[in-house]
Amino acid sequence: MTSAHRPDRDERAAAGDLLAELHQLPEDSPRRRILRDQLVELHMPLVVYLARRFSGRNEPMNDLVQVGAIGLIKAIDRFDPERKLEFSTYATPTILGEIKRHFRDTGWLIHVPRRAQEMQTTLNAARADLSQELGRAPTVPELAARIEIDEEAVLEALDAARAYSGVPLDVLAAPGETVPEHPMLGVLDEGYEQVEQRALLREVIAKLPEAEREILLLRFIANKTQTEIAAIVGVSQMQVSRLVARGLKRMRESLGAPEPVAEQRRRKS
Amino acid sequence: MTTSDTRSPDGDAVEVRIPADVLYVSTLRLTAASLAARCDLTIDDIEDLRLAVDEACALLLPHASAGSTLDARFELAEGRLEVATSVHTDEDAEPDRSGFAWTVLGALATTVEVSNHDGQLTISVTKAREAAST
Repeated sequence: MTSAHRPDRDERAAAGDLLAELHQLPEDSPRRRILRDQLVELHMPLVVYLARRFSGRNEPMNDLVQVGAIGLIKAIDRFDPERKLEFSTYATPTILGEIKRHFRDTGWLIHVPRRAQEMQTTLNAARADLSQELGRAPTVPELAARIEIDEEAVLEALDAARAYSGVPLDVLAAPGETVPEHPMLGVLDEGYEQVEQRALLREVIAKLPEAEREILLLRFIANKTQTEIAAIVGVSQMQVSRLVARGLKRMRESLGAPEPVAEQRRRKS
Repeated sequence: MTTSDTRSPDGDAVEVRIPADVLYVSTLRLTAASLAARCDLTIDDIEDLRLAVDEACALLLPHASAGSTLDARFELAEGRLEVATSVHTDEDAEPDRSGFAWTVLGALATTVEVSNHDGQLTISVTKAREAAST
């Protein structure tokens, strides 16, 4: 935990002068841009400091710094030098707000169900893989390293998993009534069925439109985040999200597969 | 569980003591988040509080005596959580008010108070649920 230093007194005075001048200039003055650039440069260390607070959440640091910089620019434009408030104090919530909005828009804000669900799928896969490789259940640091998020996020996801599943009621069901979903209870080996399904899947994937196929492969085979895919393919994250949804829907339809919830549950057991 | 989940948290308090080491700060962050949820703070408030706890620890830890502990006391109330973090320091230590940590703490918390009684340096942070804003 480093405590980087904010601009010293001279720099803060300079920032005050720049802000005062900026707010006296008419809207169309070309000098506004120069002043704004100087102010952005002066306060970038604050943006980097704040962005670093959110690193370790599977989001590239550069993205966070960029959205933080947008917040900084908004703060510069809205700051009222008349108020006796220090600019960095004023700018901090604006910058953080922009970073948080970014997480919200990309669906990765902590505690948002969509994120937890997405994480659940990744976590379950990593848990199964690691258990196989290690011959025992993985530790939290091992899970964190495998899916490249920090340990705290893993703990939260585990907690969320408990909230989702609760006590497996199926354990209490009479034999033959329902398929047991508890991991400790035996289920019919799905291996045979999976071989058939895989062959079928290959056909379905081959029939997908180029763009959807590429994005689905990046998402589920290469395990990239939507933001990463957006950067690779050169479209917006929203577009990636739409293509993933559309591709999955198309595959589900071609396979005549059940609802996604049922699918996820099955994978868990 | 002997009480219902919907009982008001007013007046409840939780204390956590960790080694004064950055390795254990995440334990405090998680505790803060979990208790803040109990106090019915919004997701954004919780996120702010996690960062605020982080900053408070960043300000305290450099002053902690070797091998000492960092004590945290959480006081719960409906729509409000107070976190008092403290470390034992050698002398009349004061948190560094010139760094980003202090600025960020002030911007995130609803109130921040600092005290040093007999070498026990305390930073109290309160987060109250914010009214709907722009």
